[in-house]
Amino acid sequence: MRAVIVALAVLVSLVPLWPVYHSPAFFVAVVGGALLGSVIAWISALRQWSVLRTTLVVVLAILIFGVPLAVPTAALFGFLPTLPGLLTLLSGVVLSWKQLVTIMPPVGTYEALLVPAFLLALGGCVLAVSLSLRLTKQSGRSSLAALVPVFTLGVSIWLGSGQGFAAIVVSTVVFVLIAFWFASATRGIARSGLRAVGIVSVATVVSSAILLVVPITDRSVWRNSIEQPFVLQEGTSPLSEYRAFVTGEFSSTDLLTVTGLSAGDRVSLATLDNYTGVNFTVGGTAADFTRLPGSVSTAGVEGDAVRAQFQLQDLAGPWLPLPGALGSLTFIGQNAQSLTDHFYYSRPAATGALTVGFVSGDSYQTSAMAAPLVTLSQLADQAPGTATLPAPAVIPEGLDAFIALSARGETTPGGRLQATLEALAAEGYVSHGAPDEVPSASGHGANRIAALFASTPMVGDAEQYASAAALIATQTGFPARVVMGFLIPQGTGADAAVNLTGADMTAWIEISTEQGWVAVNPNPDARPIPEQQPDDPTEVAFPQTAVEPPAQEEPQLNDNTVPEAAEEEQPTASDPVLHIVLAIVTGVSWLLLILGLSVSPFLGIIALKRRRRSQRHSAEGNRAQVEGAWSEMRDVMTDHGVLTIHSATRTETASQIGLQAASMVAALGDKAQYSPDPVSDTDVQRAWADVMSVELELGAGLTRWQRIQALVSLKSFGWSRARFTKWRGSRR
Amino acid sequence: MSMKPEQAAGFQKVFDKLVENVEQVLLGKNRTVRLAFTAMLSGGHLLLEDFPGTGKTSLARAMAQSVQGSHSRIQFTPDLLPGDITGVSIFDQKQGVFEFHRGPIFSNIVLADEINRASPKTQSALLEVMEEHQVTVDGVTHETGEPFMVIATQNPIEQAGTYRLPEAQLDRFLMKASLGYPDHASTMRILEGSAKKAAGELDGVVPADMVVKLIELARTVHVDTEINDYVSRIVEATRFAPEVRLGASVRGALALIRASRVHAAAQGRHFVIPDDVKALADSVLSHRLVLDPEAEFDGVTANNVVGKILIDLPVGAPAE
Repeated sequence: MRAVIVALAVLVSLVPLWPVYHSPAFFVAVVGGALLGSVIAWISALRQWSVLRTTLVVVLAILIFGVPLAVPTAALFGFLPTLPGLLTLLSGVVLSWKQLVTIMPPVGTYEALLVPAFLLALGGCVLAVSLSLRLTKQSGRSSLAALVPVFTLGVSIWLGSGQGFAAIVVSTVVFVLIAFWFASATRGIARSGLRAVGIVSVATVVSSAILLVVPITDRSVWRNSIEQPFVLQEGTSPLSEYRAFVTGEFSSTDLLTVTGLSAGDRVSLATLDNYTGVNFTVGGTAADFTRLPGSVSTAGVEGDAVRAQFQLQDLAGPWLPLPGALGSLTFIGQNAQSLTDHFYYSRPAATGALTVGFVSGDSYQTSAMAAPLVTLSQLADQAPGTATLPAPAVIPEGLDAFIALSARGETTPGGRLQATLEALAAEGYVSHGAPDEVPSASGHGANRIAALFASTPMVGDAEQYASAAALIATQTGFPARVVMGFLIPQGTGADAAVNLTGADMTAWIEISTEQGWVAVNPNPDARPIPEQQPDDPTEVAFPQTAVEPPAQEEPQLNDNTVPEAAEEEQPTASDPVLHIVLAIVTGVSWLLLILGLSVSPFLGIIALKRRRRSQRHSAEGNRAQVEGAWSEMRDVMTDHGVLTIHSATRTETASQIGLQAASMVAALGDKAQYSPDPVSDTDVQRAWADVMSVELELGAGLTRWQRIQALVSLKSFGWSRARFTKWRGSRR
Repeated sequence: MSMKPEQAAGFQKVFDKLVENVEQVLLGKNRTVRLAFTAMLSGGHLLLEDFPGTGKTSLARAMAQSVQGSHSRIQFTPDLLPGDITGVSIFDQKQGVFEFHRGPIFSNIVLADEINRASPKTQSALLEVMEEHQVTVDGVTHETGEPFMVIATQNPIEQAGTYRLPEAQLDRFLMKASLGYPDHASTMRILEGSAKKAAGELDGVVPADMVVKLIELARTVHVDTEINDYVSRIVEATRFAPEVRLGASVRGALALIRASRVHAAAQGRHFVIPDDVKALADSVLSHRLVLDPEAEFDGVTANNVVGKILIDLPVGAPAE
């Protein structure tokens, strides 16, 4: 009964992981794991298996049941393990823990991400039920079993979501179950009902107190603090490449094909919220890219629901065109799995990126919420929102003066913004600086924006106008960011497939309002540019050269030429020898990893024993050292399978192995503890020499396997078969 | 002042000689003989629960011979009077005074055979002497002399017409033991006449006054606090055992410590270890327990209870 309660507590303690998975497969994995663990622990206790044997059975159970329970998508007919499934499972044992906190939930049955939940349930129940069954109640050590659900609860909370009150409710239930477990520790709940009620009441009060003290939402969990595997390089700015899209060879190249959007809809490529004075980059919370295995909630996101299918053509990565804040994204085609594995998404910025190069023909379907478009005339009614963005490092010269001049008489932030952007649109003229156009420098650094405001007429393109507009919005009180993307050209029918070229590239801004993020197009309409009449010809005729972004160390972020991954894969595919060598190296590495992981617990046990011996040998005072020698010998005997019970005297214990050296250690131990005489150095040396002698003698008659068993045995740490035998006898 | 290691070695030597001497008469009874001498050197008395013809008288006589002391045997019967044990005052017509005639109690070792056959009044007279080592008749106190030890016997089978010793009086016996029938090999040796001597023919090992010194010496054996704690926990455990109606008394705990001291010295040790306590706990405590009638009916014995306590109770844990 007690074992069932503690197993149930372990099971309940894993409920905080539900928001991470949000799939029925989660319940199958944890319930299956818990049942499996409990049964193994029960049989192990009944048959008095050693720790080593129990561990081996657990490993076997993981290999047999792990695939259907924790990697169900790889199981044949839903329940038979497969080789790929086993490999996924084994890698998941090691790697899935970090993956789980670096992927945006819910993760469902994605890859091996159910493995942590399965292992926690299995391992937790094996440990808790074993401790509950094997350790005697009188010794008080059986209380250790209660620590297991507390531990699994802590792990599941930290692995879980940072929000929601479920963790607190679950904690209360777990503590109540543990209290019941303690209450039944004496003579059963029925016979000590009053005590049980008392303990449960105390546990409930404690849990309620926790409920009041611990914040219900926004807890700090691992996924909040862990370093994400995909980190944008500082200074990355696709906006710097804008001019290359609209005037270079890409201007007439089909970059992608979109189906499901109509004229005027927008496809964002990257959202840039951090102005460094050199360029706009992805910074602040927008740089929090996590993996997106399936879907993500769009609750609370304002906008129009859109569904669109994209087929990539000559567009280079890493930025992935999206129609808005993602609800779901599904890759289609041969590379779907690889692309899914390498897709990262920033929820704050609604921007996606791939860490692997994609090739022409790769497709994906999306459902998203497109930010509503607000015209300039509607801006006066808007009020600033509460989004937090990095403050601009520099405000270009002339910008504040332009705002002051344009928004004269306006008092509200919305009014000031509207007036300024309308002035910008009215005074600005569009030129991409092409040979047949009016000269216009590229770039959006502080000098270029200052030059824009200083020139008459103002000449630039979306790169400069969007940047200037974002800074204007920021200065008028609206958190704002620049979005670079495509505008579906006029004439496109609804749901028709449309090819987008570099010429369709544009940039706009999104401002944070009380209704959320809204899109604003600050670009002037294209119209003839009047002849330039510069006050300072140098400034206009020879504008500052746009500051090039720093050289990119990670080429996938700014490489607009050829997908690099495709290039890298070519030699691999064309060199079969290298392929075989890589496969062998990978296989051997995995083998070594598995071997290392399998052996490491045993090495840990050996290290603990060495440390324990060292501490005993170097204890303070001869008396403690001799008593330590006795304790060491008793533990050596225990690990060699000699029955050592706590009610036996030293002489009785030593007499079991019939060795003179053991009797001598016992006598010296008794002398050290009970004699009034001081213990000499000779006694210490003699005692420890005899301990070594006993260890050698005990190992002499054993096989190599038995010696290894003794070496890694955990019996001396409290897993005593004698106690279990005694416990079982008392039950009978 | 604590005993020195060399004194312990001397004690062991004498103890072994005493045991060896008596074993010339009692073959195969080493443990009981050692218990008997342990009781003697603890200054206590021994209760033997035995069948007739197991060598009780021989034991008493051999012990008396070994310590060069006197020995007497009293057969307890229902009509035995206290005066038959302690002695009586008889009026001397010539002298015109009452003259005290000493009873058989005035010996170094007294064998009180089948003590439970005498009336409670007579038993009580004996037990008073055991406690105080003196007899008071007509207002005059007569010392029994030292060493003084009573070896009382009970027949475990024939209970008809007997007066069971009350618990308070049983408590005054330091130990309860049993000689029992010898095993087959010992019986064969007895039949073959291997017993070297009769009890009365034994040579003395130590004079009686030396025994008194040995008793004094044994009291100086060191007892660590943890040993006291262990004994205390054993005694407390007898009180909380579900099969026991009345557990061991403080006198029982003191008796166990006293006996353990002698046991340690007899092993050549000048300090007590848990093994000494465990070796004597059954003999010292069992007869002091009063079992629950239900448990007794189920066949539980006091020896079982003490044995179970010794198995369950942790020995004072060695410090790590």
